[in-house]
Amino acid sequence: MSLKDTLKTTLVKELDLIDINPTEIDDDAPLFGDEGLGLDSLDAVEIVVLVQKFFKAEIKDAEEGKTALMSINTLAAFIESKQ
Amino acid sequence: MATNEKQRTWSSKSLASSFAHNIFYWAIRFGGRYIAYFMLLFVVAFYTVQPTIRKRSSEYRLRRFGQRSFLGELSDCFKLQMELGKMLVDRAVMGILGEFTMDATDQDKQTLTDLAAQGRGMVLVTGHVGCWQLGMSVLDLIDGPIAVVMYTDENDVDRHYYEHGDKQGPPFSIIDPRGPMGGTLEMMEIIKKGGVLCVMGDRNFGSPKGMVDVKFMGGTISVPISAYKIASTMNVPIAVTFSHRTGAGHGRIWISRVIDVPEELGRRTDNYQPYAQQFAQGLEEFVAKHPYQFFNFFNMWDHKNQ
Repeated sequence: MSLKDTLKTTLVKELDLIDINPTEIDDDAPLFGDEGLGLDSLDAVEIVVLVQKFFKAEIKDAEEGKTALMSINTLAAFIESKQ
Repeated sequence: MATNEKQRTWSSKSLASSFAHNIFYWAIRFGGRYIAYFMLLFVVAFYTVQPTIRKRSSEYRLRRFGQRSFLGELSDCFKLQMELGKMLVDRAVMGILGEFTMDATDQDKQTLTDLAAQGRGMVLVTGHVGCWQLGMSVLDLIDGPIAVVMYTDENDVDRHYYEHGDKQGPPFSIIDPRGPMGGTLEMMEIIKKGGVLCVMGDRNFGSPKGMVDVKFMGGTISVPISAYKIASTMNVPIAVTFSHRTGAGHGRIWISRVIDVPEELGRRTDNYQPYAQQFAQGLEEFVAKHPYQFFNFFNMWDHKNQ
């Protein structure tokens, strides 16, 4: 399984996104807001923690987080850059 | 917490114009605090006789003071508005003349010091009561970075104490909840640095999804869970903290309680309800002691207003 697929599965499972099939998540779709995955700001807290827990990639500050948490593509790129 | 403007009917915007505020600032600069207090009497009387202004606090007053005669209602409303006015004057005096003292009991100081000494960071949850805006000014007693989540309406003419004269800005950073991802990344950054995050626990700045119902003054209000969620996720303590104005140019911080939210409570909003309820309990204890220092001038019990 690719990193992006693992990421999608992890997000769906850990955030309890019961209505979303991981395979249907677009790599470029925004994670937050009304479009894309539709996550809210409190989910950002969870994602920061689970990225560290499952992928050993620490989002150290807000600027890094804003870049990394845009989409599956950006999050995967961030994790790869930390490994 | 991208702010849902359509659902939020409260406003941080001042009732008065920029010109009126400047008259007060001028009076303080050249006449001092008591001139401004005296001027307040007329301004507050002007607002108190307006039914639309009285209506803003009517639900709170009914719950706190019960059914009152018309004169009793006028009196309560006048006292509430006057306390808010005095707090705003004190805030301006601090900005212009640098005069304000905030104290706390030795026990409360020790509690804050002990929490800070753990080095994990902490969340201070407070409410729109007493002299909360000046309470922020004494957070520099605590080592480490401090951030305050603060919502300001656009074009608000009312100035914070650090916006007067040639002040270098506040002694803390400000996180705008309208920022990307509701400012949560900035909030987490402060905690990671072992700092203090100050959040208002009684009003919604963002998505209605991040709210939970709690019992308050015989009814139900909705309060945000962001503070409790961050505390749970990052394993940091919460200090429920209120401040009240004790006299001209004086205030006191009160640590109502320390809440330890269990780790990894997850995504379900209801999981955070017991901790939000503890905050509401603290707020209710505050208004029992200081009934005229409660400044949520909107119907909190009407969920459409959240």
